[in-house]
Parts: sequence; structure tokens; C-alpha cells
Amino acid sequence: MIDLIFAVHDPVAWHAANLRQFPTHYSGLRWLGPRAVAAVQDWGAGVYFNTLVPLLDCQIKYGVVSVRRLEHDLRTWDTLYLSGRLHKPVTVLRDLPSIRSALDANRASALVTALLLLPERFTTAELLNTIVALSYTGTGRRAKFLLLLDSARA
Amino acid sequence: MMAWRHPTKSGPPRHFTSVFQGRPPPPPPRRTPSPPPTRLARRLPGLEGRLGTGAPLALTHGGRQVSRITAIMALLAGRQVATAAAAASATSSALLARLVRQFDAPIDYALAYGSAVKPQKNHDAKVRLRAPGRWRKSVSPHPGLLLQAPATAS
Repeated sequence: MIDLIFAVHDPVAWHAANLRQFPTHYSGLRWLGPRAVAAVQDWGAGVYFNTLVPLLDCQIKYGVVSVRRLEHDLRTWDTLYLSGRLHKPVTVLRDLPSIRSALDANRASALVTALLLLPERFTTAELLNTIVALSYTGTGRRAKFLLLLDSARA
Repeated sequence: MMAWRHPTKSGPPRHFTSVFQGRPPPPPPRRTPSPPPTRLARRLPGLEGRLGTGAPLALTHGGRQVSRITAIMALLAGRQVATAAAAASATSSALLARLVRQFDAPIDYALAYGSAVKPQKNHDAKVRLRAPGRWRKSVSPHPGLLLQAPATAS
């Protein structure tokens, strides 16, 4: 499964266009129209996911978030949902300067937070551990976190 | 004086021999004391061994250790660090870009994460906290948090 995140300026217009092109990507929520999808998207972390989507012989999952909400989370760690994902390796496929600067701020915040959490002297592994663990703090996804660390060290 | 022999065993029990010979019993084999668990090991038992932590890492400048606060203040000043995401894609970038192009609805920012992305193995980027004209710190960063020195000093 390939995981993608799309940030768009106008989620309602985006979902309207996407519903016309790919109605089958959506759940039954599509019958309520793009405004309803965008409203649901705004709940929680501000991301609406279409999962198990077959595309170009791949299976993908894509989340749609508004540019405003993504920038806000990157700068303030409002939910630490997307910003936490962006502490890890990602491949940027389409760039936007405003998000790039927010991304830089997000990474700097992660490093600062890790330095505050670590003792005066620490190992590289401890630094990596602390940064990667930030978004997993308080969640039960420890196994995933360990796998991620392993792959990063491979 | 003859040492007493156990009737069913080929050799004398060690303690009987010792008593008869007037020597204290030999001490049990000593185990090398294990080092006290580090903070990382306490937090995540078993992880440290797998990661193989190296030598302690310190924030240094010219071989002299500087405090975390100095490093953090340098980061917060914002002039010392330029950040750049770097990740080699496990899924080819071309395929990821093609997937994004399948969508007619305009996508302002797109990224891939998770299993589609693999950290670079031999990255040589460093975290460098830079005060004007001086390097404060250089450590190997998390691959998702490649913090690179600015091309020009601010």
C-alpha cells in the first residue's frame, strides 16, 4: 500500500472534482456530496482518507487535508498527526513554498523537543529514538515505532 | 590426611575437600557486572541492544562541550539551521509522480510516506547548529530529519 497525502487549498472544490472522476474511491458518504465529505474531513486531525484504492496496478491510500490545516499543524502541533508523520522520512511529490517553510519549522521543533527531553550527553540512537518517538508518545503503536527505527538503522 | 571420598562419585565433593584441607571453599564463578541500564534501555527494554548505541554524543564546539540550552537557543534563533527533507524512495519517484498525476483535481502539495519511502542509507548530511561563523554541533541525524548547513553564513 502506498500512502499519499494531498494538501489542497479548497477541499470542497477538490472533493467535488474528485467525486466526479473517482466516485468509487469514496465510501457511502459520497451520496451526501462534497460539502459533507469536506465537513467530515475537518473533524479530528483534518484529514480525509480514501483507502484501498487501486490505481496504476498499485494499491494506494490517500489523505486529503487543507493547506491551511496542514500548515497550522506543522507550526503548532495542534494534533501532531500529520506533523508527527513528517518527522519521519517522506518523499515530497509536489511542493508548495509555504508548506516547505512550515515543514522546516516542524523539524526544528522536533529537534528542539528531543534535545529538551534528552540528558546532557546522549547517543545518536537516543537522539533518533526521541525524535521518532515524539508522535508515538501516548499511543499503543510501539511495535510500529520499533520497526521504523529498525528500518532507519538498516 | 586422606580426604573423604563420596562412595558413588568419582571425585570428592569440593566443599568436603576444602573443609578437610582447611581452606575456604572457592568462591562461585563471578559474573561480570552488567552496566547500569541507560535511560534508553529503561524506557525501551531490549531496544538498545538492537540499535547498538555508540559512544556518547555531546554538543561540542571546537572540542569543548556546550550546553543544550546553547544549542537550542541557536536553533530557535532560526539563523543557524537550514533543513531539507531527504529520503530515497523505495517506490520509484516516477511512479509516485504518475500516481499523483492521475488526479484531475488540482493538488497543491503532495507527499508519500510510510512503506513507500525508505530512508537513505549513506546520507552524509549533518546537524549543524551554527552561530555566526562557528559550528556548534555536528551529529548524525535521523534520516527524516536531515538538517543541513545553510549554503551561506547568515
